[in-house]
Amino acid sequence: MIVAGASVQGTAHLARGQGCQDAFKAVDLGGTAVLAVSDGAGSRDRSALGAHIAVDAACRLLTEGIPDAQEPPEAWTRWVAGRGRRVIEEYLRAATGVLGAGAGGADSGAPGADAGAGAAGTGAMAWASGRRAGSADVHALDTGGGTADPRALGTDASAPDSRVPGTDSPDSRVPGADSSAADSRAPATDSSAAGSRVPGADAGTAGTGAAAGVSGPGADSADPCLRGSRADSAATRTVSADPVAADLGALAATLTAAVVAPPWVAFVSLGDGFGTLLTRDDRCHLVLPPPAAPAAFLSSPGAALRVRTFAVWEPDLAGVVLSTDGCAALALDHPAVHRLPPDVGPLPAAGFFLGLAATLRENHGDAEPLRRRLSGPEAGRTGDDLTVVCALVEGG
Amino acid sequence: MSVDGIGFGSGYEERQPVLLLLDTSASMGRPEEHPRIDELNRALTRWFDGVRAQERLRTRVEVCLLTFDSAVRVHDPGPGRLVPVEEADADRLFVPVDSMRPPTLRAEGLTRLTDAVETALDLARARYRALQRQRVPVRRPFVWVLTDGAPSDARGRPLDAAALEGTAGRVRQGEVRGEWVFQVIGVHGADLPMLRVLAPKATSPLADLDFGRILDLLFQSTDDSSPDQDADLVHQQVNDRAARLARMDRLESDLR
Repeated sequence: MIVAGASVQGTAHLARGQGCQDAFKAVDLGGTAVLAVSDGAGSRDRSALGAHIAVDAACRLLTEGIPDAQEPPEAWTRWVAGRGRRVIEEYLRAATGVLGAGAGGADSGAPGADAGAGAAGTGAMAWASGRRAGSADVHALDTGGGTADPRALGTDASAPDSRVPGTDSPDSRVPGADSSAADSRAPATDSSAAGSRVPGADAGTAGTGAAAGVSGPGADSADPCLRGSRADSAATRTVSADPVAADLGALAATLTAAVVAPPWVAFVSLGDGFGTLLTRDDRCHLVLPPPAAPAAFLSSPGAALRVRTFAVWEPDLAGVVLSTDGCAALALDHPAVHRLPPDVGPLPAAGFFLGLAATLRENHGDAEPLRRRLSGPEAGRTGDDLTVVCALVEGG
Repeated sequence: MSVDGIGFGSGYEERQPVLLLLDTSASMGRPEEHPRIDELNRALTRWFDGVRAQERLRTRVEVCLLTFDSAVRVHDPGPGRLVPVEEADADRLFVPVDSMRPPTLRAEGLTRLTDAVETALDLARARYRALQRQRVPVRRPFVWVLTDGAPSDARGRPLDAAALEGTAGRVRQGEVRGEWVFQVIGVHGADLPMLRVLAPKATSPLADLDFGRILDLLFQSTDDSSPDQDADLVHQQVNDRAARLARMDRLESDLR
C-alpha cells in the first residue's frame, strides 16, 4: 500500500499569524492502512492541539480489532460504529487530561503510540507537512517495503504527547461523552444507508460495490453548504456550566478517519472533512461528502451521537483519499461544471484525485509534489489550511 | 505524472456576501470646499480597481452596494446605476468584488439609516439562502454601514433610542444566530451614542481615517475572521485594528 499525505498552512492563517491547525496521521499495517485528518477550529486557541489529539486517538483505536475481509457487512458496521464512539471518548479523555482535569490517573495508552498489530509494512509511504512554500519545518519520509513494524506518519506532533493523566479504564466516562450513545447506529435514518451511495453525492459516477450500513445522524446528507457556520460556538456555550467541558472548546477539532482494508473501507467522521474512493476503472466516488448541517466538533455536546460511521465494500478499490474542508474548492467540482443541477451536490474533481494517485504511484509515494501543489498560489486562494492523506492499493 | 498532473476542481469556491451601506445624505456634501462624498467616490473607485490583486478576496467575496438618504437604493450592476430595491433583480445585486464598478454618488436628503439596515438584512438573508440552494459553500454575510450622521425618520427628525430598538434587536439576534456580522463605521461627526444603540459593540469611530483605509480595514476583517468566530470577536478585532491604524497615523503625522 502507498500511504502519503501533506498538510499546508492556509494563506489566511499565515496572514493573521496563525499556525496550521490541521493535522493528519496514517498507520501502514501492510495490507491495511489507517488514515486520519483533523481540522482544528480556526477561532480556538488550542485547536491545533485538539487536531493532533484527534488523529492520534483515531489511528490508535482504529488499528485495534479490525475485522477480516471475509467478515459480513454487519461485522464491519458494528465494529466501526463501536470504534467511532471510542474515538470520541478517547479524544475527550485525552483533551480533558491535557486540560488538567483528569489528575492522578495512570497512563492509559497514548494517542501517538504506534499501536496496532505487528503486521509487516509494505510498499512505500511518505509524508510531508509544514508551513507554506518557502518556510522551514518541512519533513518528508519515504520508507521502502518490507519493513517490520507498522509505520505511522503524519503532521509533526509538536502537539501533545497525549500520554495524559486520566483514567485507564477503556470505558471511562469523560465530560461530554454521551453514555446514551450505547448504540447510536441508525442506518435507517440516513437516506444513503443502503447500497453503495453512502452519504449522498456520488451522482454521475458509478456506484462502488456494496456499502454496508451507516450510523449517525441522517441530517448530514442533504446540504453541503454550511461549512462556514459550524455549530460549535453556541454548542460550546451550552456546556459552559462545566468549566472543563467549556475549556474543551478551545481544543475543538473535526475528524475524518478511514480504515482501508481492501475490499473494505470503514469511515469515522465528525465535522466537515470529506472522503473519496478511487476504483480501478479510474473513477472517483465521493462516498463521504462534506456535511449538510453545520459541522460539529469532537468537543461539541452529543459528539458521540453525531459521529458518522459506515463501511464500504469495493472489490475494485484502488485508493482512498481523506481531506479537510479547506481542500473542498480544490478537490471538488460544483455540479454545474458537469451540467448537473445543484441538488446533485459536489462531485469529486477527477483531475485532482486521479492526478494525485498517478503522481504518487509514479514517484513511489513521495508526497512532496502534493505538498508543493497545495503550497502554490492557485491553492492559496482558499486561505484555509489544506490537508490530504491517502492510501493507494498496490497495483490499483 | 508530474506535480502539474494534480489538477484542481472548479466552481466549488466558498462565497461570502458583503453588503456595503453608504450614507449619501446631505451632510456627506460637506464641507463645501472638500465634500466627503467626493472623497468617498474616489476611494470607492480606487479600492475596487485595486482589489484585483487580492486573490483571496477576489475568489470569495461578492458585494452588494446600497445607499441611503431620503430613500434607500441599491446598485444594479446591469444598468450600472442606483435603483429602488423593489425595482432591482435580486439575483444580480451581488457581484464578485473585482467586478464591482461603483456608481458616482451624490449627497442629498435625509438619513434613513434604519430603513437601509432592514433592507440590507433582508438582502443578506435572501442571498445566503440562494447560495445554499445552489449548493455553494457560503460564509455568513458581512453588513457594513458607513455614516456621518444620525438616523432620521421620514420627516428628518432624529430617531431616539426607542425608535432604533426594533432594528437593533434584529441585528443582534441575527449575529447571535450566525446569520451575519454587522458593523457600523461612524465618520466625521456621526452621532456615535445613537449608532451604539443600533450596534453596541460594533460601532467604530473612524473620523480620522480616509475612506480607502476604512474599506481596507473592513474587507480585511472578512479574511481575518474564522467562519465559526463569534461576531463580537470580529468586532473587537476591527476596533483593535482601527485603533492601531489611528495611532500609527498620529505617530506618522507627528513625525512630519
